[in-house]
Amino acid sequence: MRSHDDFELVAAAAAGELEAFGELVRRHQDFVYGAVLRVVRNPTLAEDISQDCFLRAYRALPDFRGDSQVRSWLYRIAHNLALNAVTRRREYPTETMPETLAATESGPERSAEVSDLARAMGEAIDLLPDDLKQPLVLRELQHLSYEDIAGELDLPLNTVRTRIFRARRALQIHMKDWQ
Amino acid sequence: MIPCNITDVQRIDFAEGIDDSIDEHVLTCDQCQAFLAELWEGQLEHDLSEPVMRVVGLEEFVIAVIKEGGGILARIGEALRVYGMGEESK
Repeated sequence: MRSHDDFELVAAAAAGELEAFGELVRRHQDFVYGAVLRVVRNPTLAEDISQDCFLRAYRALPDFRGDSQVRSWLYRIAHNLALNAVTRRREYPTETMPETLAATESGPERSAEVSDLARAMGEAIDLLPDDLKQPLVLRELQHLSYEDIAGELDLPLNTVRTRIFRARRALQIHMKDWQ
Repeated sequence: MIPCNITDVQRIDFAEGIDDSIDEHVLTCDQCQAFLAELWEGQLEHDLSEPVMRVVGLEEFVIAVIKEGGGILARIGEALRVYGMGEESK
């Protein structure tokens, strides 16, 4: 049953299974996009807000109590974001979209902090030498096993482990200003 | 399930932005949402799961990497906790 599957996916995603959340996005993205587009009347803006909707849903997974259907929960998030965007566009017509999305009643400063941190981390990854960056990206962003990475890069398993360790350590040093 | 008396014509008018009078109703009506989901299916031209999961993966990674860092973890944890407690998450 579709709704039952949704609850299972939410539970799995809340337990750390990222692919479960990816499936939720694929399942409901048309609906969320339609709900947003109905309000904002701008396809590009609607896509941005739809993405933001799913990110907020992901971060709010621990708070989802299951009192409503998952689709209904997503609809409410999407609807609120779309209305906020329209309101802010009226108040600040020249404001750029990222700032519009960043400012909501649920904590704009905190949201901005997470975004800034993610951006800084992305820049730090870019600065890594390729021999460290490649295994790190395959491990942390593409979630390959150490064995698969070793096969992919044609490296001994221990070399892969060492390089990922060194990459993580380099990132920690690079990010020390955030502590 | 609460019976829904909204007609398909009203739902289509709502979807097209002609009539917003059922706005509050749609927020909680599974039947109307199911109808709209079918109506809006295939509208989206790009798969959003890839960009969304890229950010999700990066955020999870950021949190994992800084776990050993101490102070920043508390800040991020608090950020995510507060971030997830808005009206839309209820």
